[in-house]
Amino acid sequence: MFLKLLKHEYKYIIKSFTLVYALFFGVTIILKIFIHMAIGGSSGSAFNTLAGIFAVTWYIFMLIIGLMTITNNARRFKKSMFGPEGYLTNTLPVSTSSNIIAKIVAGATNYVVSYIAVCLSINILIIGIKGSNKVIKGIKEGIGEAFTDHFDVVFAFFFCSTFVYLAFLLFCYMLTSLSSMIGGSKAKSVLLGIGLWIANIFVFTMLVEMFDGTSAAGAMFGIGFFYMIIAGIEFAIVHNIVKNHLNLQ
Amino acid sequence: MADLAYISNVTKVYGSQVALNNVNLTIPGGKVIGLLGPNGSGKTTLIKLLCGLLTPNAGNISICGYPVGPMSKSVVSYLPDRTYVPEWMRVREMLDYFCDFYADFRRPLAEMMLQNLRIDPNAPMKTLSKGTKEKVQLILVMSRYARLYLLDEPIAGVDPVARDYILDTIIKAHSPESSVIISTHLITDIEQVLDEVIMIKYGNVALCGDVPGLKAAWNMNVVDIFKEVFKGCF
Repeated sequence: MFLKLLKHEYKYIIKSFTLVYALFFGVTIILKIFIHMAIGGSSGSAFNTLAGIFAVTWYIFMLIIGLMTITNNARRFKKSMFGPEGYLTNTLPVSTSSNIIAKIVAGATNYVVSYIAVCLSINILIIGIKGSNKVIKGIKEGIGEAFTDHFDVVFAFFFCSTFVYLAFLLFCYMLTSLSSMIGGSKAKSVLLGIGLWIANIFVFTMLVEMFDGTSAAGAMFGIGFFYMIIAGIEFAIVHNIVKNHLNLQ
Repeated sequence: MADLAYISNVTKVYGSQVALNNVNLTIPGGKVIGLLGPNGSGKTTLIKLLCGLLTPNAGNISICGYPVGPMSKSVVSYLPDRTYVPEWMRVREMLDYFCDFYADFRRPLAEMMLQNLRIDPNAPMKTLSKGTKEKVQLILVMSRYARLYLLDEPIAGVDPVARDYILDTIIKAHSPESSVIISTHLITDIEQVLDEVIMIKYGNVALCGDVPGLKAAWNMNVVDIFKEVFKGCF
């Protein structure tokens, strides 16, 4: 059943993102053509204006993808759990945990795919430019060295960033769930969100100070463990609200 | 016919308001049951408790021997009083969705009903009218071979022709051993299909019994019994 839940979550993501990704890569290719033409010596005010427009469009698309990746999953969670669609989602013969975890996994996948799409687009743009091969080679060597010589730091980085992302995603879910429980008041939810976010920044600053002086890997592991606990608490809160205090709109 | 569901000492409270107060009911198998009561009497709360959307503050509910949870949800087919179909899906995708999650979903029956009602399976949900969306939902719900159907206001807001089709679908599509609970205000329209009624008043069961027995005991039809029971409640 969990895989079926995932399947339908992915279907939703594909429907929401296919057009955006397609347009993004379309703009990337057009911009690449302009870059090639500029390298080949093309110029002129019309050419420069068009090239500028496509460069700005490419940048805006990158921002849109980033923003959509963050907001889309939280919006999907709100709509499918607490909106009218919740009458369908919450009466499926699956456990509450499966329902929530499927959304987390789909959200994380969406994040990774968007990240890869942006990296790929940047790659397309820089490949073929004079000196770019050196840069790419340098990056590859750097990554290779990091994996061989500083594997603990790389592992700690992935560990830390995974749980920071999970805690952030679950923070959005928790805020949505709490907002639904208190009657869907937007003002109250925004205030609650700001309050919790300030608390989060305060705690994060304390953690950074606490790990000051320890190794980079140690600090990242420490922060990662902290956010793992935070993510666990957030999951428990979301689970409890969905299971026992569901207030469908 | 064996009993399908047991509701024992169930109480549901919203803040300081008691929606259901120590309700005890047994839902028999093979019956069409009318869940009747004025607005705010607790009908929808009872249905939501049975389908697992709400958790009781006290008491127990079991359906086909299962406590309310994933197992009970697999034998309950629920139609809410509002449209819940995801706007981003097409009608055909909704059939796929039900096929994936409900082993008892009868796809050929659903496709036949869609054809009868001239609903295009390729139509995106967002392009359908509210009435058509409600019909799609009813088709999805009644195409399941469930043990217990919970229909919350299935005929409210639909035209008389569609109303007849819906009632006909409800009667024909449910299996002989399953039961259908219909919550509605439109008693006149459904009286002829009801085997039993449960009348809820201020969160308590005011009257419960089989229709022929009640008619004989009160010497009046269900609508008049309803008016008698709820005199002064409106």
